Order: sequence, then structure tokens, then C-alpha cells
Amino acid sequence: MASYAKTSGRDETLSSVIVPSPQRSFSHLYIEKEALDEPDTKLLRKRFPKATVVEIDRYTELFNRSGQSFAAQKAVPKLILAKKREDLLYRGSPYTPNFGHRRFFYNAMILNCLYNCEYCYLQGMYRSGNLVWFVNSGDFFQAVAEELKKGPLYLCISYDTDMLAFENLLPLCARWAEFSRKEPGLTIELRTKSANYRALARNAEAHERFILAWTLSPEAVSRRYEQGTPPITQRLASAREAMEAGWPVRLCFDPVLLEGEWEEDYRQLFAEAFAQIDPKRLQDVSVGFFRSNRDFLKTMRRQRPDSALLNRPWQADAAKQLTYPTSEIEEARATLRSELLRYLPEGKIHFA
Amino acid sequence: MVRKCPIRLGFVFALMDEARPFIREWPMKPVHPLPGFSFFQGEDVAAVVTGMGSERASAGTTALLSWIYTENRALAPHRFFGRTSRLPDFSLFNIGLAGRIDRNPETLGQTFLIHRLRHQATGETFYPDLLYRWEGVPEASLTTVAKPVFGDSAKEGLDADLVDMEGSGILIGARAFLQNHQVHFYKIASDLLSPMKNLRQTTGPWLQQSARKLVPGLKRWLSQPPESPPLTEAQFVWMHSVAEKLRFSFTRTKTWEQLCLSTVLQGKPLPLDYHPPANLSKKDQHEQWHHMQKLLGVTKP
Repeated sequence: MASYAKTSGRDETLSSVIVPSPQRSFSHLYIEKEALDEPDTKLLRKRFPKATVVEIDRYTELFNRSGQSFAAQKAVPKLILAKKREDLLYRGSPYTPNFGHRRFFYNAMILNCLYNCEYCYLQGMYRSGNLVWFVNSGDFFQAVAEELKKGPLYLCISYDTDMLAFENLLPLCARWAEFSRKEPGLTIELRTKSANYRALARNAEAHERFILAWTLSPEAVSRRYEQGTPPITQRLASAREAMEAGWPVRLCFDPVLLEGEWEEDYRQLFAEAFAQIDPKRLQDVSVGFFRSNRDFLKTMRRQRPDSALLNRPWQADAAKQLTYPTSEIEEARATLRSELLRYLPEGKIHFA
Repeated sequence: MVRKCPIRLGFVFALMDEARPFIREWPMKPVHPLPGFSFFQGEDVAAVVTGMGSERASAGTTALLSWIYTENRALAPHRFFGRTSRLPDFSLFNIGLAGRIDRNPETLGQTFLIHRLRHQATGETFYPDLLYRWEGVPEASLTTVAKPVFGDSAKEGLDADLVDMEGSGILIGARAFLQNHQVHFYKIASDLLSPMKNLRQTTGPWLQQSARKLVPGLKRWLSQPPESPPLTEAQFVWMHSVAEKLRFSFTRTKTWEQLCLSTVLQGKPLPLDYHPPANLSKKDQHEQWHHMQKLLGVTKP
């Protein structure tokens, strides 16, 4: 008798259908015809030899079409290999910290993430829960090289994904690390929740203009809202290892959720973090409270009608971002700042 | 038939010959909810036989889904609240015959899961969300054409493994109700682009075989409970009765629903015993709105 199974790339029985599998293989690769001969396509196809390949014309006809369920696709995501033809570099948003860099840019070589965080804005931004991997990486490097001719540049390469989590498949982070080593005007931030530092270390050496930024939340928050992510202890161990190897390390406490005993949770988290990470060698920390664009939140709520976090009555701030009431944020900011000042000088603490 | 549970599975067939083995295997009985098409239903499944061609397939699919939408909504309206799909907890299957474009005789009688569907007339391409798959069922691409195609010359421009006359019509008919992941296509390779004699005798055993393969698995899949709705029926009914009694505008109704949902998700009870008076003046309605917010613990920032 045939069995009906989720297409996560391994055989699963019907009984396991209800629980999304943490398996990170792909049953299907959708590949743009124009991307078939790209070297990265060939490498990625080798990683998933059992995957069914479906040729497509443009990734947008899959990824951007209406009527998709981000949540359903997220449970068993497919991988789309495509070429990015425009917008290889974006100007940074005013709602994200630029750490004092005037020329702040970001790019998106991968759309969507392996993790499934309940608060993630990607579920409000994209119509699809599938992953898009732009395999024309050379064009992205070229775009940055062109922009560098106009002046120094601060570049975030892992905003709309978690690039380090993919490093075992293709060493994209290592390529950027090596690229930035040769470009003196370029500073890169790689933001991650992954504990996959060793995959980067295998292919690249530390240098001062490639910042590894780990996002951390109290363990209770992580367990409840950050599905599929490594435990905080593993992220911290990765951060420590990276710092000892000479990489600049940033810790990002973002989004801060003012839930339950959050003051005590953050006190403990800071204590745990700074027991592992030498504050003197730490580049800096970044702190941001949960905030969301109104339209994104509306879509996120539709994707997760059962989310108590997303469906609470958020309030618009002066910039029309939905977040906690200003008074609560002020109070929480003072609490977190004073706690962080126990470990770090004022100049190393950035609030978004 | 008095329905006890919502319909969770729907089938669209072009021909009665295609439908028969599945209707018997399930089993389903003929019903007449709407004119123009042949409908069948079982305990939690329903089917329509549309006739051949994309237009009839589209119209028949819309008719089937309109009927199911009305039935399911009447039975369990709370299951529709806050859901992305207009017809939640439901999946649609098109199972039917298709010509094999590569004319490989070894594929005759095989059932294929469709992973790409192209509408030849418009060039539009659809990629079904393959969230589930059958072990041992190979995949194929499908092009839907307007007229039957025969011979080698017909292969030009089809750009697929299989060709049928209904697939894209079903998709168009389903769009108003379903999300991509709720629509599935299975095709049985029935011919090699040549006119068929004795269709029933040739394809009958293949359709039987396909039904025996697919139906038990679908039944097991149906035995899984549907997703729990965020509000219970009692909470949903109360929320709506308040909105109706206080004559909330569309925008205020949405705000009210969000407040109720948020309250329930925070683990707080809704005051189901409180019923605001009806026929209030505009001023009193406004005061009641503030009172309801207070009951739900909302304080002005």
C-alpha cells in the first residue's frame, strides 16, 4: 500500500505528518533554466542528489505568486535556485542600526531562512515559505565592488535569511570574508542564530572588518518562539570560538520581548553571555524591542492566527512601527542599559 | 443527507469513467445540490464530474467549492475565523487521464503526481505545492490544451510530459476558494497522443488500480484531526452576536475580532455571559463599545 508522506526529502510515515520535521533536506529543487549552468547550481545539485529537479523560467512565478501559505510551505520548504538580475544591493533601512556607518547597505543572496521564528518579519514580507538561493554570486560581489568606488561601505549580508546556517552547503560567508579582506573600504556584518561557526572557519580566516553578530534571546523565549534554532548555549559557544580565533563578535539582543519575568531572564542571559564572552574583546551589543511594520504584522497574523505574540494589541510608535507602548519601552531600555553597563562601557551599547 | 462533519476532501473528474472507480472505492452517493453537473458525496468527501474541456472543468470546480463552502460554513463557522484560506481544512484532488507526450508505451497506465502545470493558451505556469507525496508515485509536468492533440506534430510547444484538457481550468475554478497547497493533480497516462478506441476497456483497469492505490492513503490522511481553530464555537458565536447587537462598522468589527482573539490567545476568558442590550442609540452603542473593551481588559495608552 502506498503511503502518503510529507516531502521533506526522507521517507516519513503518516504518523509523523503532523509534526513539521527538523530535517533540512529538500525533496525538490526548482531551477531557473538560465541558472542551470551556474557553478553554484551544480554544487548545490550535488548536495541534494535525490531531489526532484523542476525547471522553471523565473523564480518569481513560484515565489511571488498569490494564494500561497507561508506557514504550510515553511513546514516542508523547497529550494529555488535562481539568478538575481536587479537590486543586487539595497540601502539600509532607517529602522535598523547602522553602528555609525554613513553608507549602510544590505543584500539578499538567499531569501527566507531555515529557522521558523514566530516573530520573524519574513513571514510578513514574503508570500512564500520556500527558499530562494541566487546562484549568480559573482554579480553580487561585482555590485559591491562598484559601490565601493564611491566610498567605504558597511554591508549586512544576512538580513533576509540566516546565511551561516547554509555554510555547509556552499561557503558563501567564507567567500564574503575573503572578499572583504581584499577590499579595505568594506565592513561586513553577518547576523546569525546559527551555531555553524566552524563551517566558516574551515574556509576563511578572521579579519577585523568581518563582524560575526549572534542574535540571542533568553532560553525561555528561544524555546517558545525560535523554532529550529540552536540553543543559546551553542550559539554562545560558537561566538566564543569565533572571538578566540580573532573575529570581531557582536551580540544582538533583538527582538527583546517583554514577556513573563523578562527582567530576570535578561539578567541571566547577560550573565551567561558575559561569562563566555570577554566584554573587552566584544565589538559591541545591539538591543532592539519587537517592532513591526503594520502591513507585515497584518500578514504575519494571517499566517499564524494562533500566535498570542503576534495577535496582542501592539501600539504604533512615532515612526508608525507597531511595538510596545513607549512608556514600557523607555522603562525596559533603562533596565537593560543599566544591566549591560555592568559589563560594557556605554559606547559599546547600541539601541535600535 | 444531514451532514455531521465538514467536507475535507473534494474530487474533480472530467468523465464519469474516470470518477467511477473512486466513487465506488470511497464510497460516495449521487447528490443534487446544484444544477449543471453530477455531484457525489460521502461522509467527509465530495466529487463533481464536470465534462471535458477547461471551461467546463473550471465551472464545475467553482460549483463544487461553492457548495462545500456553504455547507462547511453553516456547520462550523468558527473554523473559518482567522484562517488564510477561504475554505480551510480542505484539499482538492483532480484525478484523470492524460496523453503521454514522449509517446513512451512503458508509462501507459501509470499514475503521476503533477509538479508543473502549464495552460497552453495563456502560457501561465503553476507549480503545485508538493507538501505531501505518494511513495512510488512518479512526478510529471502537464500542459492543458483546448482541443485534443494527436500525432508527433502535436508535441510542438507542449513542453511537458503529459497533456490534458482540464487541469488549468480546475486551477482557475479553485482560485477563489483555495490556496496553492490545497490543490493536487494526479494524472494517469492513458494514450500516446493517438485516438483511443474502447477507452473504457483500456483505461478502466488503470483507473481501478489508481483508485486502489490512492484512496486508502487519502482515507488515512483524512483520519488526522484538522487544525484547531483559535476560537471555540461558543466564543465565536458570542463575539459575532456582540458585533451585531452593537452594529459595529466593518473596521470596528475587525478591531473587535482582533481584541477577542488576542484575549483568548493570552489565556484570558471572554465574558460569554455578558450580552449587551440590542437596539441602542448611537451614543449608547459607543459607550457599550468602550465597556466591551474594558471587559476585555483594554486600557487606553
